[in-house]
Amino acid sequence: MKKIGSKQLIPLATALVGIVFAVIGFTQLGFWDKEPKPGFFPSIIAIVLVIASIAAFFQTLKEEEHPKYNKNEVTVILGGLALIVGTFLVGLIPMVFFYVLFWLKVIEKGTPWRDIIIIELIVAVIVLGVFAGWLQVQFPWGMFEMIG
Amino acid sequence: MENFVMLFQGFGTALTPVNIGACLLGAVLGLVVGAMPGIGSLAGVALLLPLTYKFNPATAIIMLGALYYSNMYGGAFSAILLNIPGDSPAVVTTLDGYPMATKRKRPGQALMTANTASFIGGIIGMIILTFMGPGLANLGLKFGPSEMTALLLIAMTSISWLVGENPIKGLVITAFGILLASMGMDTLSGAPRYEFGNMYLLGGIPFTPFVIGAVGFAQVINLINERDSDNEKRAKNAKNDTKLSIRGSMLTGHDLKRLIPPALRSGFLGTFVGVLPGAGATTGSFMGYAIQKKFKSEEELGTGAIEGVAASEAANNAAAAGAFAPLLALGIPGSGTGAVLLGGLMMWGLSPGPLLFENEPEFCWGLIASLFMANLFTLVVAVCVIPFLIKILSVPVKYMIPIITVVCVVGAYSTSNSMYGVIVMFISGVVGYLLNKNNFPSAPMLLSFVLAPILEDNMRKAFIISGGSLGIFFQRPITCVLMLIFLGIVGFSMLRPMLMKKKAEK
Repeated sequence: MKKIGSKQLIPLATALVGIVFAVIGFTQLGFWDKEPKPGFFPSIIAIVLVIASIAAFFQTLKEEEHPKYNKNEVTVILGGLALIVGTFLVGLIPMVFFYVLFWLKVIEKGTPWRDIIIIELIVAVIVLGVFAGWLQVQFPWGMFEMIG
Repeated sequence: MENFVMLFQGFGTALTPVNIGACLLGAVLGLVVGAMPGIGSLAGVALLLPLTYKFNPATAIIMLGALYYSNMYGGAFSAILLNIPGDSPAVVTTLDGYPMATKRKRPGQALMTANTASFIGGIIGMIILTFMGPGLANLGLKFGPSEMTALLLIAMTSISWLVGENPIKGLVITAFGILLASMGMDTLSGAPRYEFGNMYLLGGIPFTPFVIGAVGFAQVINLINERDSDNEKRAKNAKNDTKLSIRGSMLTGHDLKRLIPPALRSGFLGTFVGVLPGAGATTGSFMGYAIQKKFKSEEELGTGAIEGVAASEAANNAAAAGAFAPLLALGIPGSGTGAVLLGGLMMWGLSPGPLLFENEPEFCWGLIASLFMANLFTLVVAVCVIPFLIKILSVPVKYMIPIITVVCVVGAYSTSNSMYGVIVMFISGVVGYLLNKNNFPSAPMLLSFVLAPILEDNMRKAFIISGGSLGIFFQRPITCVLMLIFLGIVGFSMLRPMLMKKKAEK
């Protein structure tokens, strides 16, 4: 039997999404009552998704190539996740500067301090100069908001 | 001819030092705001509305018009250089703009293509607006729900199924994108749907963070794989072949030959789409690109073809110009940004509608003349900043990763002023990365996500009008022609694998 990989998991996941949307659409939202109801359009699309996903599943079984994942890609994802979690703690602006410093000093080993300072300055111009200063975006300050 | 004379009088109004200054300032600010991922023309115009309070109505609207217009140029910058569209109309520009800048190593030419095509599209849009503005607005009004449904079906099928080599995968991702867009509030009845008890999902999935993630953050994850080869290249002191000059970014005669036909086609098409109520520049750029798929391109679309960049950029700028026709002549905004502009007009005591051209000719024609000026000013400014912009590509990949991640996070936050936007960006980034990794195209997901609400609204309205009869899609002449085109595309897409198989056997 052919081994199931992420190529097959994607159509399986989309088929599941389609089933959930179709069931909710038909049973809870309503399909048609003299006129189309909120579930009308998504239910039709959900059925199309289920059928297309099944076809895609069998199609991917015939494909020989399998995607290769590496730990560097996971590091970027974890980095982004850490940035979001850290924002809830110390706020977005401090976390952004810390993230850049951590990435360049720890993940990208051996980055010269001069380059780090230049990149932090670029980030400061974008975040503080444009978004916070000019466009007046109110960034969250995490637990520091309580102090304020 | 009368319109031509009025336009010249409009230039008389627009060409005062204060108005020129306001137009120039609007063009520069619009470029910056447009290039910032997550801000977009709607937020840009809204944020800068207070800046115009100090001016008289004509100057204020000239500045806002220039700002709105140059936004369309700016959105292409980050799309081409970073693969992060600054605004939703620039989503299509990423398809060929980014590969042209990176894989084909022609970043300057990619930006120049976008600028030139934007200029051509804009000029076509404005000429049509000048001579046919009120007439076009009336034609746009003939597009009821059934016509819009048929038009949007063509837009979605043309791109979604043909972008990739695999129509089934394209269909899966298109349908997935539509379902994501249906989460939140039903726009016709106001009833919540697919919110799964989550307060944030009641408002639906916000488009801008979604697109920043699916395109931008997914790109960052892929970028890490290029880091090592980039480091090796730099270690060998390989000369960076990026030319940091305006001259080095110039298009060759051959490039121009490739650029002009799609830009002209998209210019006309984009203007027409821009006139349609609710269609907007995003639909325009998708349509422009879809039409280009039907024509021959020297390089395959999606691989960094000049034709692809020109088609999408000319169409979105032409649509931006076309959107002024219903706004001024009928008082109907074609998009959210148009609604803000309409609010601005009303704030200064002007009532857009059929009588505006008669009651306020000085203002109307001054605004149209200023759009011509804004188009020219923006082109000049945009060309001058190319050498500085393409320096971005000479930054080592290992430094770009944290910078782009920060831009994605901050841009996603700024659209919603909440961490919900950042979380949406992150999740859509990971989903986009997994789709790319497994050869599922992510572009149809973005297309269907942005067009699905307009399609659903129009389709349901059409069924309500017809009492549930499908006949409405074949009774009116415009709808009937559009539906036949749509069915033709679907039929061809289904038969194509069989035809190709037969051809291969021969």
